[in-house]
Amino acid sequence: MKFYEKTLDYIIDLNVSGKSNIMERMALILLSKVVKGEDPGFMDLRSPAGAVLGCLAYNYNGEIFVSDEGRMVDHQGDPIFKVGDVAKSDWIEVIDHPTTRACVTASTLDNQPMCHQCAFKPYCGVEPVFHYETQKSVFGQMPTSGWCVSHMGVFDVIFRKLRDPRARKVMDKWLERDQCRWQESEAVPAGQPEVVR
Amino acid sequence: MILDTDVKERSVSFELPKKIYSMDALRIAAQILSPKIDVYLDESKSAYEVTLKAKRRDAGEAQLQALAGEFGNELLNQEYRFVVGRFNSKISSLIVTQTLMAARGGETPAAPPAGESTPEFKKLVADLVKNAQAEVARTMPKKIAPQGTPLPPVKEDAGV
Repeated sequence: MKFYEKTLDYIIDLNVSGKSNIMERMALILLSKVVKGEDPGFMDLRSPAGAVLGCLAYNYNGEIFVSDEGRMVDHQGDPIFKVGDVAKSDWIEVIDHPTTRACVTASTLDNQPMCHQCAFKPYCGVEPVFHYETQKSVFGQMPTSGWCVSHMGVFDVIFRKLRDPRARKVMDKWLERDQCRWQESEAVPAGQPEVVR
Repeated sequence: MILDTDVKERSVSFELPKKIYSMDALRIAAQILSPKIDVYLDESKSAYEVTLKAKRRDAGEAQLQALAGEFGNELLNQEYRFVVGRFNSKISSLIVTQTLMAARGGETPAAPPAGESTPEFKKLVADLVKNAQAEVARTMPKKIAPQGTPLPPVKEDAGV
């Protein structure tokens, strides 16, 4: 976290001095949620997470996985995150698959110890594949989870920076620029996918 | 929790009160830690008698105590998860059901576009799938080399 804060400070300094307009993407994703109350479409920080609901990974041989990370787990010999096959399954079978249901349930923060009473719950999310890989369960164990430690730390840093007028000015500028990007690609109604031309 | 370790047998035993811990939580914790330990269960009227046997042959006193701590942490996590699940069951059931229903397309999902149910289209798709499967069979190596793990293995003394 010290490294992240130091890096963010350096990026903010570059912006203040006018040497660069570089943005920190993770900070921008969280700022979109915290300051603007918008969903930036980041799959891992949702409740439930984007696995199947917001993304799917198709393997070279037609197998369908909950996410690209799920496909990687299969590549290591564990097909637990496979939810279908393009040659055999239709969408209803994929969405009704027990693995899909398990991932959705496990990544709903109201089901998670700690998360359900966390101050950052409105902006956060958990990733079932990460927890299966690191803690051998799609639910994970939040008090000892590296995911929780790093995200709570990043949220702390972001909220600290938001109280600093100098950093706040830079962050507002980032959000403004991000807004411009959305405007250039036309307004997208809530819940609709953005069409990239 | 009073631990009774037996280094020679690579095992550690302890008792858990039935009032606090459920059999479901015990089974889940045992499953999660199955790569590291074998779990043996016995029970008296008021307690579960648990024996963990380390899979690592060089497990010493400290490692056995750490494994018992790790098992205790997981047990507590599962038990607390049940409590949270019961406490928030209404809202979480609503969120999960609504999410899956919406992703499914509601109670009566829209039918595929008319053009996709013609015999020509179906034949085209079947031919594409057949070609793809033949290409995979022809080009993929029969045996893929082990890919390793993305993270270093968990240390045996991790936990309490």
